[in-house]
Amino acid sequence: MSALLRALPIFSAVYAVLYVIAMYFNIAMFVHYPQTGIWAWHDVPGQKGPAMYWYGWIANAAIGAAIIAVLLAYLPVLQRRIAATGAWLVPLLSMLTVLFIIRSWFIR
Amino acid sequence: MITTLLIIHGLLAVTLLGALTHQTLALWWPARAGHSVATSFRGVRSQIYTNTIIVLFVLTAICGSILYPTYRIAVRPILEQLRMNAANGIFEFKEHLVAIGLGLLPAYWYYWRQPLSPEYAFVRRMLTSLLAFIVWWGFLTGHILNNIRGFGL
Repeated sequence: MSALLRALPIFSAVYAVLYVIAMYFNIAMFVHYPQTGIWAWHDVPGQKGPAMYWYGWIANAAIGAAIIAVLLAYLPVLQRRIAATGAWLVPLLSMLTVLFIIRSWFIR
Repeated sequence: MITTLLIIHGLLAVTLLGALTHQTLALWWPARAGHSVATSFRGVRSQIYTNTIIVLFVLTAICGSILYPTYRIAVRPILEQLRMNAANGIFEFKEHLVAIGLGLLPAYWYYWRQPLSPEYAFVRRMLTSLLAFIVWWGFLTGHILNNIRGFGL
């Protein structure tokens, strides 16, 4: 139980990284087409309207982070202090990275 | 249905905003003495807000995720046609901030567990501040986009 609890801060750090990776490379577990209401595991050619990958990015990041965090929680090398700092610093850096990735909305 | 959900989303967001602002200010600027409104606002037992904030954040995000497809097909194309790139951009950023915020909640809960460890006071401050920033950004963005014609942007 304590190892699983120790995994929580690690989850937050890993999740933030995986989310940015999923978003940047568009690695979505599934895709949603709001115009037609269709959910699919992959892009469906010829669908009407836009595709939404956001839900699929979150799902990928959450599942990936859960697996990695549980594995890392058993590693003694990952000191509690590092996990504590990473729990807020990594998400903060991820937020800034996202802002950099989408900067074209603001500067074009 | 969508309008009702939008109102519920807004009400949840306001409640979350209040709880997180109380907690954040109490952390960074603890109340010492006095009976002013500002002192009372900061003079809260910040740890009692934690579970409520987590539940409110998740519920608000769920409401937002249900509303999001409607925004995607009914609002965003209009903003694109009107070349309101900054307006689209602030919503894009909101979308990503909320996603990252959801991932922050496990760490936030972990470091706010009772009894509070003094060793992690700074970590609590940073996690709470990040969540407060995310919620403030999300709230203001939603408000601006909902009233964008009135803002004359």
